[in-house]
Parts: sequence; structure tokens; C-alpha cells
Amino acid sequence: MMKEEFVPDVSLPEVKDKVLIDNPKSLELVKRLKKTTNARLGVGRAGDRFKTETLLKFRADHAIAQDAVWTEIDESLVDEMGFYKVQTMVNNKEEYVRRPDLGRIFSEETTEAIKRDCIHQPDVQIIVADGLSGFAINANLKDMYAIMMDGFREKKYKVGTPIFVRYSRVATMDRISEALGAKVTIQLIGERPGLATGESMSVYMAYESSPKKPESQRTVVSNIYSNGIPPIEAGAQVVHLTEILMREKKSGVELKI
Amino acid sequence: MEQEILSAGIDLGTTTSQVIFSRIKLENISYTAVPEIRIKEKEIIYKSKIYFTPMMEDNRIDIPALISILQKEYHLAGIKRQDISTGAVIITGETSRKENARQALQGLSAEAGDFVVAEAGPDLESVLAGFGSGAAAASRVWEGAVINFDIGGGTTNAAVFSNEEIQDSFALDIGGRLVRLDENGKITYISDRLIPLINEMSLPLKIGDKVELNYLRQLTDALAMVLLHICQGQELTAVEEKLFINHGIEYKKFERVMFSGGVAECIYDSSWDGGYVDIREVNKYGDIGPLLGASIRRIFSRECGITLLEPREKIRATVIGAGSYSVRISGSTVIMDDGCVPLTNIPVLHLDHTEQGHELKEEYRRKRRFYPQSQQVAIAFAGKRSPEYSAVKAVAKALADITRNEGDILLVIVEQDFAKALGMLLRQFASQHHVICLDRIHAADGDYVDVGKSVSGIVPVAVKTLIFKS
Repeated sequence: MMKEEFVPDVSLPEVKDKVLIDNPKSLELVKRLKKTTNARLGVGRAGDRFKTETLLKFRADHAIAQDAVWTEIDESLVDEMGFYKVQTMVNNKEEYVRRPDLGRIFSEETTEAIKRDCIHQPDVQIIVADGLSGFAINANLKDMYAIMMDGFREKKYKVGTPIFVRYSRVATMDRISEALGAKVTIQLIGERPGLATGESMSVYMAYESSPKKPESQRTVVSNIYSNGIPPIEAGAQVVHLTEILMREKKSGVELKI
Repeated sequence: MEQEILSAGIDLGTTTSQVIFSRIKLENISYTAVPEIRIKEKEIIYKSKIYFTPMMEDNRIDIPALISILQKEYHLAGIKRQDISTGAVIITGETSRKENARQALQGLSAEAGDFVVAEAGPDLESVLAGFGSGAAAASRVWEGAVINFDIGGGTTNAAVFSNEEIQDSFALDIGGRLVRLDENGKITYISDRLIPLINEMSLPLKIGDKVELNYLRQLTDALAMVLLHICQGQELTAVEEKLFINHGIEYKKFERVMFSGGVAECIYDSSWDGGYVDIREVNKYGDIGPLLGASIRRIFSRECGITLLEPREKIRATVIGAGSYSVRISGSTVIMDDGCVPLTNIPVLHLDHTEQGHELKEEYRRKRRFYPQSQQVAIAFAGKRSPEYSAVKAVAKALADITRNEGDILLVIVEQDFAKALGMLLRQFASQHHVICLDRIHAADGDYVDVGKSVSGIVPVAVKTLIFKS
């Protein structure tokens, strides 16, 4: 009978915690040092090259980053939460990666549809954008959205129709805000993945967000994922920041917090 | 963005008392809208002279004299009490066993500033001295543990650190002033705590006798050997074990040792080789401090498998520990109500079971009975790394429910980073309470916490163990 065998999964995060130096003088101190950074320290070497394990881990992490970019978000998630779905001028993932300019704008019909179907003059407009990581939205959206909505309800803000934008860059928030006359616009977007994680999400917020204003209008919360800022804590911070933006009537670098 | 807070440290010891002021610089290292406040630097800006602790004839602490020392030092340092945002007064060694110790401590902390906390207890003293001496910091760069002995006039306070974390702490009745001499070398005092050891060694040391240096040296060598044996993980004799205060230790080997406290000034003083010509030379403080220091230096510099590390601070280690290390800072995203602070000496009720609402309530009810209904408590629990919203909501609901009939402040402390989320929910579910919800602070059952006013969004918290526990 053949024995079942398994190949170890090199993509697991704990693989990176391993010290690969041969005969380290102090294993404990190398481990301690590794805990202070995500960089690949203490990996040893084979001649003047990486060891096979290091190289495989590096490739696996790179593959996660690539997958994050090419993965579509699980739309059943935004459907369940009653999001209004639109798409930028981009037609597919490939074009999305090649043409950042098209990922920032909508067709005239789409803009008209948003104006026709969504709540106007909201205090708070929430937008979810796939950005450069589908994993990020899949992993963090649900809890973060829930706590934000609870917070806004408590503050009695008029919350607009939540909108999901496919193939979106950050700047779509300016177009939507302008179309609907929103006070505070909040966009949750998948971050460009790195070699540490593909699940990190960012939040961009702006008061009267507009394409006529510079990028510095935006207040940002980044690094939201299970090993960064926990999604619920980020959600509570966004509620807190929304209060400040509503009170100060400004955002981004103009806002001194 | 940088902010500073001023901290006061006051050490009321068996023999000496001192005051230091330090400036703690905070900086926000975040480039986004979630602040991340770190302590950038701790700088000691003023050190008082070292005073003899004023005592009255009936062997109680002279509180008015102490307070006037404190006022004088504030004046000399050019610091007003309202400028002090944190700090600690610590009462140490034999002084903490005086009958008016508690009044002295409270009087001083009130005089020192609104947010200066009062602390006592040999274990806490050990920990603060270990931070102040630099043993905690040294343990980060060495594999294995570093043990710090802070040897004062009355007691030796030991703390064991590994990678900057405290592993163990204990105290011993070993000190420089447990035997005192007059200028002619006559013994004027022998602490009761040393009598069993002296008797066992059959040393002819009696009050009123003119001392023979040789016998004194045998005694200080024996005390130094006790410390050596502790480092080597050797079990002590029954008589030696009686020197432990409150509790003993688990024997194990330590490779690196550091000494602080007044006696350490003599341990690391290489200008004197320990060769004693006559009693006058040894007797410069009217006690066995220099002799004990020389014994320790001699015994620990032999081939004993233990590396002697140089401390950053010696006699000032405890006061610097009290001034710079007694207060921790919360995480940067919290829920705070500055109208409710300072809160001092709040007992901690730690919950181990927060997964299920009914278990949480059951545990809370069981532990809450130890405190009177009117007593403010701090509810602490660990929490998960990145918890699900539904789970945090359930905890918030259960906490709101179970504390419904309590006083108006709801104080919750979690270890993981989700206080803002939890606190926001508590404000919804327990709207009749003022909610304070802090994170990144560890507190256990039996601890007490002090909570100060927020600075740049973070909250200074002192977690204290063993207040006058006897």
C-alpha cells in the first residue's frame, strides 16, 4: 500500500520564522532579532546564494502578492450587504493593471446611474473598491463595515447607498462624492500587496472629496489586516475620524490631528 | 510630532531617600491617521542629593521633615507639582515596615503631584531597581537571564529578567546597615534578622563590643556566598533560607549578574582592593556596607561561572526605576474620559473566560464578591489578536449587562489592540456609565492600577502588585 505523503506548504507565514543559519552561536538571539522585523534575516546561505528553502519561500510570497492582484473580490459579500455595484472605464483585470487612468473614471452612463439610484447629500458615503488586492476585501470588509455602520447609526449620520466599484483606483471616491454631494466619503480599498501579506486593506477618507482637489485632501488609515491594525479597531478609528472631519469640515493635510 | 511628559521618582529607603525628575519624550511614528505613540527617550533632568531618611526618636518616619525635603527639591529643580504628569513614590526596605509607612507614602504622593502614584512592596522594588540599573535592558542583548541584586541598607532586592521581561523577583534581609558601628569600631546595632546566621557561624559579634574585623568579614563573606549560591542554583541552608522576605525562589543557575543599590557603589569601586588595614578605613559609613561590597567583589570575581555586569545606575537605580519605568502607556487607539481621572489604587478583576457571555458573567460575579459593591474595579482580560466583531460585541453586551448596577465609571483594560472598538460598543450598551477602555496593558488578578490623564491620545497607567501585602 502506498503511503500518503505531503509536501510542506511553503506559503505558510510561520515558514518565515525559521532560523536557517547553520550552527548559530545563539539561536535565541537570532529569533529575537527576527521578531523585530518582517525582513528575511537569519536565513543562512548556500555558498553565496540563498538556500533552497529561502528561495521557495520568497517565490511563494511573491506568488501570493501576484494572486492578490489577479483575484476578483467575492461579490456575494457586497451583494449580501446591499451594495450598489458599478465598474470604472476598465474592462478587465489586465487592462486595470495596464491603465491606471481608466481605473479612476466612470462612463457618463455609470455616473448618471449613480446619480439616479443612490442617496444624495449623505453625511457619510461608503465605497468599497477592489484596488490591487481582492484578498484584502474578502478578509476584512465584513467586520469593518459592521462596526462602522453601528457607529454611524449611533451618531445618527445620514449614510448614503454603499457602493462597490470594480477595477477601481482610489480617485473614484472623488467622482462619486461629487456626483452625490457627500460630506464625508470613505473608501475601503485593497492595498498593493507586498511580500509580507496580500490581505492588507487601506481606508481613504475626505471631506467633500472632489477631483478638483489635490491628493492631499485624503486622510488615510492603512495596514488593516489580522496582523496589522485589526479590522474592528480600524473601523472604530474611522468612526472617530469621521466625527472629526464632520466637525472640522476638512481632511487630509489640512486637518491637524 | 513630539510631546513631553515630566515624571517624578521618589525613593524612601531604609537609609537614604532621594528624588529624581525625568523627561519622557513621546513621538508619533505613524504616517497615517492612526497614531502610534512611542516613548522616544527618557532623560533624567534632575537628581537630588542623597538624604538620610529622616526618622523620629520613636523609630517612626519623620513625615514633616520628608515633605520639606520634597518641597525644597522641587524648588531647586525649578519644577512645579502641577507640571508633573506621572511618576511614583516608592517606599522600600525596612522603612516600608514602619508603622506610619502608609501615611508617609500617601502624604508624599499628594505633595508630589496629582498623578504621582504610591507604591510599596519588596517585589515591586526589585523590579523597579532592575529597570533602573539597566539589568532589564542588558537582558535583551544576552541569551538567558540576567539577575539584578539591588543591595541597600536594609534589604537586597533581586529581579530576574529575560529579553526585558521580568521573570521572577524576591527579596532578602541582606543590607549594608544591618550591623552598625560607632567611630571607635564598637557595634551599636545588629539586625534581628542576622542573629540566626551569626549564631550558627558562632561569630562573637555583640552590641557594645569592639569589633574584630576578621569576624565582620566572615559575616559579609557568608552573605556574599548566599548571593553566589543563589546565582549558581545551589540550595541554601535552612538558616540562610530564613533571609528570604515573604517568599523563597526556585533554584536555577544564572550566568549574568548585576548589582545596584548603595552597596554596589563599593562593589564596583576598584580603588579599594578589599585589603583592610584597620577598622577606620572600613568604617567610613558606620556600617558593614563597604565590607559587604568588598566581599561580593572578591567572591564574584573568582572563577565562578558567573559574569559580573556593570550597572548603568547604582545607588540611584530604584529611584530612577520609580521615576521612569513605573508607568506604562496604553495603546494609541483607546476610549478615554479625562473627567474621571486620576483613578488610583483600583483593584483588577481579571477575566479568563470571555469566549461565552454566560461564562464571563459567572466568573465576574464570583470574583466581584471579593470587593464591596461601592468599590471601583478595573476589568481586565487578554482578548484575541484580531477578534471578530460579533465576539467583541458579545463581550461588550455581557460586560454592560453585568455592571449595570455599579458605580458610574466602567474601566476595562485589554491586552490586545481593540480598545477603541470595544469601548465604542461599551458606550452604546452601557450609556449610563463613563467608559474608559484601554489596551496593550497587562494586568492580573490581585494587581492594582492607577490611571492618569491622557497625553497625545495615550493614557499613562501604573500596574502595581502587592501594596502593603503582609
